[in-house]
Amino acid sequence: MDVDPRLNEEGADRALRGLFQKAGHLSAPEGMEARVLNRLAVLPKAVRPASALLPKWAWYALLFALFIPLCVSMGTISDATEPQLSSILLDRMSASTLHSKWVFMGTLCLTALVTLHAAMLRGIRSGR
Amino acid sequence: MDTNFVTGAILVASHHPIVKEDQAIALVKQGDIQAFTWLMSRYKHMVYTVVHRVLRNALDAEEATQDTFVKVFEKMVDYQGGSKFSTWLFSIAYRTAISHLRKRRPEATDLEDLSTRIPASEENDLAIATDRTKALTKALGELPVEDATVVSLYYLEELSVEEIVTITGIGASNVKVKLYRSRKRLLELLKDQLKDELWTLTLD
Repeated sequence: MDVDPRLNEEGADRALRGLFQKAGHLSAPEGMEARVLNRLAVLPKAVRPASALLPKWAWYALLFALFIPLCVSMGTISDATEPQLSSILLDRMSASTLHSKWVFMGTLCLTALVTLHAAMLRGIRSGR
Repeated sequence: MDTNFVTGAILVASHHPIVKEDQAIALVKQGDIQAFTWLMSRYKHMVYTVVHRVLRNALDAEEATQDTFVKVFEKMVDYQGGSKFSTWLFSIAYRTAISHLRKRRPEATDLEDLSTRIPASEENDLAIATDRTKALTKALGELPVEDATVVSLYYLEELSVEEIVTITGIGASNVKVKLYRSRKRLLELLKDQLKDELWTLTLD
């Protein structure tokens, strides 16, 4: 290889860097921006929301709102209908949940809202 | 978006009061087309050079450059600023160029096959280039695709080995080997052009 002896590792590095820098970039064709913008114009809109439609605090508020009727319904169950082993909290909760229209409706509303939220988010993400 | 709008966007972008790249990126995330045009004007030559090093053909390089910017616009919301914007942009450009190369050479099953030499670009591509650029492009055409890209990113874009690893997905030791091998080969191929550089170095 007939290479200049001054081209040691560092010298070669500097010489090549200098050559690349002086040669510079290749020129992109004229009017390329316009062609890209034209392509973007015909693309289906796929705008994704930066954040969820309902913030986290809204879901916590909904859960809290559901918890109140649950507590109320638990308190209104008469002792006569309670099982003898009243210390079992799970039994109390399931009994109250099954008997309370409030809890039933609350759960139904929450499920409907979650489904609506998911459907809207999916629709927006897919650009529809 | 009609023709007048596109022309308007380019005109506005050329006088856009954006002074920082971060500002432009934030605006593009909100769908600002002028800010995107500003970013395109800033990076189009760099992106075109990177994809041309891979594809070695003006028509394919332009198509891949356009594809890159379309993807960048679509994916901008995903860019969280974890790496430099240019690194993120070049990685999209590199992957897009490799994907074009695969389409052009469907018989190649892995990247090693794609890395073999492809004839350098047609003479017409370089009609307006300087002698230095012509010589460099011709010499890079003698190198495998990956080597030519790595060496370009290192010497022209002045990226670190770590950044080249992020962009190309090639391992750090492999990048170093490619740099060493390419440097040696380019010294042989660019003897005449390097004489000028050596003269400058001697004066320094």
